[in-house]
Amino acid sequence: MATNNKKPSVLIIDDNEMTRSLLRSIIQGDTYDVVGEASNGVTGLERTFKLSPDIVCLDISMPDMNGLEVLLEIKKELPQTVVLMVTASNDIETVQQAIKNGASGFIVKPFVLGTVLDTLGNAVQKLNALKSL
Amino acid sequence: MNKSRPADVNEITKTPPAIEAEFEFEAALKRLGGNQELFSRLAARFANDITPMIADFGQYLKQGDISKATLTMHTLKGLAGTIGAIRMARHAAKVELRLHTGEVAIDIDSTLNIFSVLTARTQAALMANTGTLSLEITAPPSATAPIDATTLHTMMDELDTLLRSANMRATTVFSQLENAFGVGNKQQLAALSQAINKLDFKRSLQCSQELRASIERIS
Repeated sequence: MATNNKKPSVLIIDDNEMTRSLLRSIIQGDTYDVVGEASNGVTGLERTFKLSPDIVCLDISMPDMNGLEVLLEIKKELPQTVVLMVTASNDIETVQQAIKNGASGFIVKPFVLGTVLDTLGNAVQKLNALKSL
Repeated sequence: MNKSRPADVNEITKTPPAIEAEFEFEAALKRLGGNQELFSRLAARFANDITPMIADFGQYLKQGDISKATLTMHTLKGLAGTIGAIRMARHAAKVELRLHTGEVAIDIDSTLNIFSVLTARTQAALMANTGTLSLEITAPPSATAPIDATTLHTMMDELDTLLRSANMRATTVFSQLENAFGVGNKQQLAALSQAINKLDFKRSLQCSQELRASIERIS
């Protein structure tokens, strides 16, 4: 969890291995702990429920079960989990739908290391706010 | 203001617009916090991943699976953008949009041919720009790898055959040849590169023969 000096745990859900690898390389370190990955929405949901990560980095565009559907399920079961949507799209309707479904932020491709870390920093603040409710 | 003047006249009389960059590796490296090791690792993976990704895309198009084809273009757009392969990212974005809107029909062969050229060029550029790639990528031989005269002539024969039939795979073979030559025969290689990049197969064949003649003069 984000409190008691424990590193916030992060789960990455993205169908592309390279994207997962890149995000893991950026995120894993002294500040965050990448506890798992999933390459599709269904497995992503299973791992989210099993691992209860603090933060989920969730790709919007995935085959079979897309990120918006996964997001809805996560927020239904684990409302305190902060979900950041990963996308290369700036489609306003998708963004609005993600916010409506409970997304806390967006990690936009191509990734900028500093921006990704800033977004995660904001996610931790949101996480702490949710936990203090 | 002369509003009746055709737009193309305006374009001709003024300085031509700057050619858009094809690659922005330095910007990509900067986005990754200057982490050269991470960039090289990603570049190697990307260089190896694009060929199967384009093959899958072709299959999806042929099967009429527009949803998966669109998704593949979306992924390619993001990955190419991340690695700094700007032209490929833009082209993927354009195709993704076309597939998404369904307003313009996609010519499968032509689209795959364009991606084939972009893939070969991107792989060659990534290899030229990252020191570790030649160890990981399963494409052309490295510039330092010794190559015997027979292999070189076989490659040139293959290139000529492909050029005669206007086969886009010529661009891949040319990339391999470029690496095999290293710093030698620069002038002839540059002329051939220019012709191939314009997909001028007739001129490319002439340049290839000039290159072959220059090798024979040296040996």
